[in-house]
Amino acid sequence: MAISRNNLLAAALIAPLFAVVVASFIVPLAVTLWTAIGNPEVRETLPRTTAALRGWNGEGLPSEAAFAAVAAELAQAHEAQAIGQLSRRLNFEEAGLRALLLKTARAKDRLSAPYRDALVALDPRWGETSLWQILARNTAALTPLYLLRSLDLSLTPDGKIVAAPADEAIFLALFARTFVISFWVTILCVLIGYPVAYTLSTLSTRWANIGMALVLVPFWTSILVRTTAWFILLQREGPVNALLLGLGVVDAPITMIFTRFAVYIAMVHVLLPFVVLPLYSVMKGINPAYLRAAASLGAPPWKRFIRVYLPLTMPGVAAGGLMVFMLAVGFYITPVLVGGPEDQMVSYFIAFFTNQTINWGMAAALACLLLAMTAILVVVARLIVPGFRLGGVSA
Amino acid sequence: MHDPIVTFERVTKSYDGRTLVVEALDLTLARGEFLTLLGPSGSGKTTTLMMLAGFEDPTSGTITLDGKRLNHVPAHRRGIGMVFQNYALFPHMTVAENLVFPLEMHGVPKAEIEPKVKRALDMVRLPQLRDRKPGQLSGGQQQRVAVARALVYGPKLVLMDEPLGALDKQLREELQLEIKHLHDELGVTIVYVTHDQSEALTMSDRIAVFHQGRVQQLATPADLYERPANAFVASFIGENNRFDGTLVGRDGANCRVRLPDGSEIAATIEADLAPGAAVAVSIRPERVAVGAQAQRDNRFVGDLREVIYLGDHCKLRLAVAGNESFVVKVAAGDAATTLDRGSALAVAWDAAACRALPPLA
Ligand SMILES: Nc1ncnc2c1ncn2[C@@H]1O[C@H](COP(=O)(O)OP(=O)(O)O)[C@@H](O)[C@H]1O
Ligand SMILES: [Mg+2]
Repeated sequence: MAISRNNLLAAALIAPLFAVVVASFIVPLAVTLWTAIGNPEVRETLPRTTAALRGWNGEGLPSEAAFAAVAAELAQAHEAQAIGQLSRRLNFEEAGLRALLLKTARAKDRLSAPYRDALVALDPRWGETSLWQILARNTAALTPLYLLRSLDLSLTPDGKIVAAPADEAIFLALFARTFVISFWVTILCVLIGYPVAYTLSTLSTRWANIGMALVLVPFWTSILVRTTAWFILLQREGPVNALLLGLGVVDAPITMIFTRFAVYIAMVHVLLPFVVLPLYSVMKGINPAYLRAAASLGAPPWKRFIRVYLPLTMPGVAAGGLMVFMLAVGFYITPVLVGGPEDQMVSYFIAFFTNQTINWGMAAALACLLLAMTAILVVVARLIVPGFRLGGVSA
Repeated sequence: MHDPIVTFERVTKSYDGRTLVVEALDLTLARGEFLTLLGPSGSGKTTTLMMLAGFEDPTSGTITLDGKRLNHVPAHRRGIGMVFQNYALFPHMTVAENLVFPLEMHGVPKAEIEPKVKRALDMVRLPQLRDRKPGQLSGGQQQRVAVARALVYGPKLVLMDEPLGALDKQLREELQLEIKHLHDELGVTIVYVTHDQSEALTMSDRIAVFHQGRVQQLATPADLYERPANAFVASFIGENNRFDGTLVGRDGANCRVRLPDGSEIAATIEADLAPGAAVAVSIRPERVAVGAQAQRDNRFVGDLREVIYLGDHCKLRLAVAGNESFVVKVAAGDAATTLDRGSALAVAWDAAACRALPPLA
């Protein structure tokens, strides 16, 4: 009795938190997923056409009713200024459809029954089965097209999945590049962060605080500012080149800005604290008696490290590495500012589709696939990396 | 000592360069003995052990093991086993893996590892727990595994730093005997650190009593109790009644001590002290007789303050010659236990049972 009362109380106390989590995390995620597969344009703009196409078997041409409906509804949509979204959507299915739809909408006054003949006369494409197949397919509430395109695949009018044309098949390479960059950034952060965290953990409280401040100060500056700093440092006429030239290491300034190298440097710099902090706290928590025990049992320093210290700090490596990897996968501004065109990551294209072409379906599909692939990679990492447990060593 | 295994020669240690944590330590360990470093917390026991194990460097002085100087020999090459207070079992390894670790580190051939692990686990009676992680063991089991791990590769010398400190009393007494028996069976030399005098008395061949970084006395348990070298040792080991006074007369081993209230006590003395020196007279509670005893050397009348019933015996607390908590042990049925608080009670003891000691070495 008392227990269930307590449980109720606990539930009541966490309910607001739960609501915040739902509102701030689950809802946007669900909306994004919905945007990636939702297909409202044809259904909403051409409802009567949608109804008329319901009975069509996909062969030959649909009934006169469908032609009449599409002619009328396109004209209506044009007047209501709703044709833009629709034509953009269908143009994404097949280039050139935008022009066809606009042309048809504007020809309203010249069209009269029978509409089939009138439309074919206006543009022979209205007499092609494939056009009607595309229209009919998009009367469905959901579409796989955005996800397929994000995976360099495409749909033929009759619904077969085929490889996308070479000039549009850029996304698999983009995902691969995103994960490769994130992987190396993670490795570099761990390799640099581990000794830093170790050194901090061995210092006296006073020096550890100073060292920690040095690690954290960059953390308090915005990513934009830090990236801009690298932008300035790595320029052709920047201080790094000036130094190298001055020291006689190189004869001519080397190109660093707008390269993969610059992306790595700036990203590692931005993300380093995320691996140092969890590693430091794990290392601080390791009882020095374990290392003394290992020494008293005959282990030389490097074996103490490999057999005892490293496994015990593995939860910190996993937590920090995971955090860096997750953040790196979503990086946007740093590659944009210091990378070249070949160094842009998925986020760049998400922003591109959101801001430039207003193709939210593609933006959402890329975002969802990025999330899914990252989740799969983390699960795989958990399976194959020894000691990769987020909850710490099972003590 | 015919076969020393470890010697400390004038070893001092200071962490901060000012205060000496260990001061001019001279200590010789006989091979196969069980030596306990006993002393209050902060007296330098752990530091002494850490210098021997190789985790701290002496500020000055020399430590030798088997005749070889240990200065600058790193811990992992000393071949000294160690058991820590909080067990320090590797949490990411199973019990068996914890035992395999020192064998691998010492290059024991693969074929010999498994039998040794098995023998070690049998020795501490835990063969069924070999695949558990330390976190799944009770404190007593963890400590047994830690002992097995320290012994499994056959070190000549094993150090134990308050290994039973975290266990409850009953388990502690059980493990005290187990460790003692292992010592007797294996013949290893053990240096054991504790602040618990009864633990030290139970287990040790010899005890070094530490106080303020100095060894106050190094002796067998019986000698320590019967013939404490100074007042600190007398009060640290066992119960003790103490009177501070001045040495007024001495005739060889017999002496007289004047107390601040003017009364005098006849006592024995070993220390090299002349009349006029400040001394502390020590008398054990069980050596005091109650009631009129005309033949005893020292006779006082005390004021009964408290009777404490302890089953097999009773403790009487009295005010005697300015000492407000003078304790006497009597049998449970003794007539004195029926007296009221505030009653006057005669107490007496012989000079031979009472020692005049230097207040501190
Ligand atoms: N690593 C250290 N740094 C500075 N002071 C220490 C250190 N270890 C111990 N001390 C000090 O040395 C004294 C003796 O400590 P320790 O040898 O641990 O005593 P014990 O084991 O007898 O309790 C204490 O005052 C303690 O504060
Ligand atoms: Mg200690």
